[in-house]
Amino acid sequence: MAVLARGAVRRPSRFRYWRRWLTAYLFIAPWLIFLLVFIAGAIVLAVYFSFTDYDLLSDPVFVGLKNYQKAFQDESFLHAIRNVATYTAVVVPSQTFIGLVMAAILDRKIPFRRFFRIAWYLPCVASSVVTTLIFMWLFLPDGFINAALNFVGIDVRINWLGDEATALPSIMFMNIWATAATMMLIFLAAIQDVPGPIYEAANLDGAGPIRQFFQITLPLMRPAIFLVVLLGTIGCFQLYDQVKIATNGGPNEATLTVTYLIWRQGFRDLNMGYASAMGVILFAGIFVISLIQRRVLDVRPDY
Amino acid sequence: MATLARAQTVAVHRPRFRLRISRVLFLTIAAIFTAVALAPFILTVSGSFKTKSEILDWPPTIIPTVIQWQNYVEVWTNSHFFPQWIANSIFLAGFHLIAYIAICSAAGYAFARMNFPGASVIFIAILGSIMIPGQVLWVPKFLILNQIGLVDNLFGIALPNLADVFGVFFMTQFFKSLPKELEEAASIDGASTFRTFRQIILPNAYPALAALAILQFQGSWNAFQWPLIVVRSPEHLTLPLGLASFQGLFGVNWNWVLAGAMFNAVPIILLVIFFQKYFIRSAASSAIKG
Repeated sequence: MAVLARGAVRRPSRFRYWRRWLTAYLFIAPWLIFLLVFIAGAIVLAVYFSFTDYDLLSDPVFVGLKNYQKAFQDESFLHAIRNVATYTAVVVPSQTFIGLVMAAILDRKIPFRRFFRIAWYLPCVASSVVTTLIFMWLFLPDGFINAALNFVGIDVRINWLGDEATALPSIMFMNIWATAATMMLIFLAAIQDVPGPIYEAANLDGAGPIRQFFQITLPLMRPAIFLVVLLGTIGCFQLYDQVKIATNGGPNEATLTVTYLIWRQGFRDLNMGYASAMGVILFAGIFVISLIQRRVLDVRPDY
Repeated sequence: MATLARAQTVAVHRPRFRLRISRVLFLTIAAIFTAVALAPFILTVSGSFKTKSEILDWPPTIIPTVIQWQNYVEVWTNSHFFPQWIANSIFLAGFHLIAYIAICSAAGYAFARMNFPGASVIFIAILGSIMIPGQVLWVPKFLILNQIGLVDNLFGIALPNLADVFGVFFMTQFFKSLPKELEEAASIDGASTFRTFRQIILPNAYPALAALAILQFQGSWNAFQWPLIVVRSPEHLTLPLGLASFQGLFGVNWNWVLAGAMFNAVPIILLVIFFQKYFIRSAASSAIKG
């Protein structure tokens, strides 16, 4: 009798348990399928293909670490890494600094704040294709950039994107223009989180707005700065659109980047294995850099 | 007493004086930033109205001497596939919004409200995958599409984009913030989980769904990298790809490029101006996530 009663109670509860389990998986199933195929599956395939030679026409051939060895002896790949490093070293500090200045200004009670915020943010929302095309036009020898320089007395007719010396700096400028305000928004959210009483205390101590910014706001925003530097670095490592549209890595490989090389090897020259290996190296690079930055910038805020 | 009064006036006066100087300084810097941010757009608008000869003038004019709509008409009619590119972009954005929101809200609801085995494992694995740059997966994703015959097909662009983590994360956070009483009342009435979700939960989630939709529209409308890998034929290009193809092959016709760029930029700029708060909040939430 007791056994029967226990069984009678148990059976529906287990049934209900499985039913709930099933319902939950039905809810996530459509999303999980896409994720398993196009992210999890793709990651496994990327690693697998990086150990093979594969040109789409014949079957992939396992070659061990050959692609990785090839990458580190490939003059173009090393050159691309140097370009990306230079690019990151200029763009990340610039966009961080400008974003910070923008946020600091918008945090003040100045007139037209809402207008400034939206105006500065517009470069971030237009597509990379549109902003790149616009800047290609502005950077022409007969374009507005040279005209503006002539206007202030610098008499030049530089072919900005066509000259080896100025192509990469031009793309740097383009991207700082297009990303600084994204950083501003992150900083703005962080600035507004700084507790008000700290400023009141500083006011009583006679600290001016500039000193308050450097001695209170900035130290308290270390987590936001870390985030901005990290996002900025990841973005810089992936520089692609501007290079693909404006310069195709040229002139003379002056704007060659790792991602452009992945495209060129994979989709122009059909070296799928080699392109995968460069992708894995790119991921490893981003992973290591973000670990180092976490160490260096030490994200805990000290209130 | 007198000293105290003096000290007080000093304390009141000094910050006001400083504030005024810093105000002028801040406003000046703000004006410079505004000019730099807006000038390229303003020059694009002006350039898109210039005649073919004026656009080549040196020094370039800021305001066109003759304003004409010719470039807009030509970019629409002379470049064979331009209307098709816009239609493709609208189709992709529409498909993406509907499918993405359906998929992400269902999954987000399961993560927020149902305790099921494997939930935390899946969630952690997913958060780890955010670190992987999209370009690393170009080759394998392309090869998968090649297997299922979706290369050079609009669905080849659309389907892989549904494998995304942000939307599920976003919706999970939102559903967690809804009061549990909503479902409890429904389950007493005997409604099934799916019916509760569709008829009670989703109508309460409109603000979150709208925010997600707006952000996703921007991503889909502006997308460049992945569509460039998937489609080749001119009739399957999206608007950004089509615009990018304007330069390169045949000598650049900047009149068309600038007028064409307006078709891509204006919808997004209007969207941001009207729905500013969603964009600003999303940047703030990415700060919290980090």
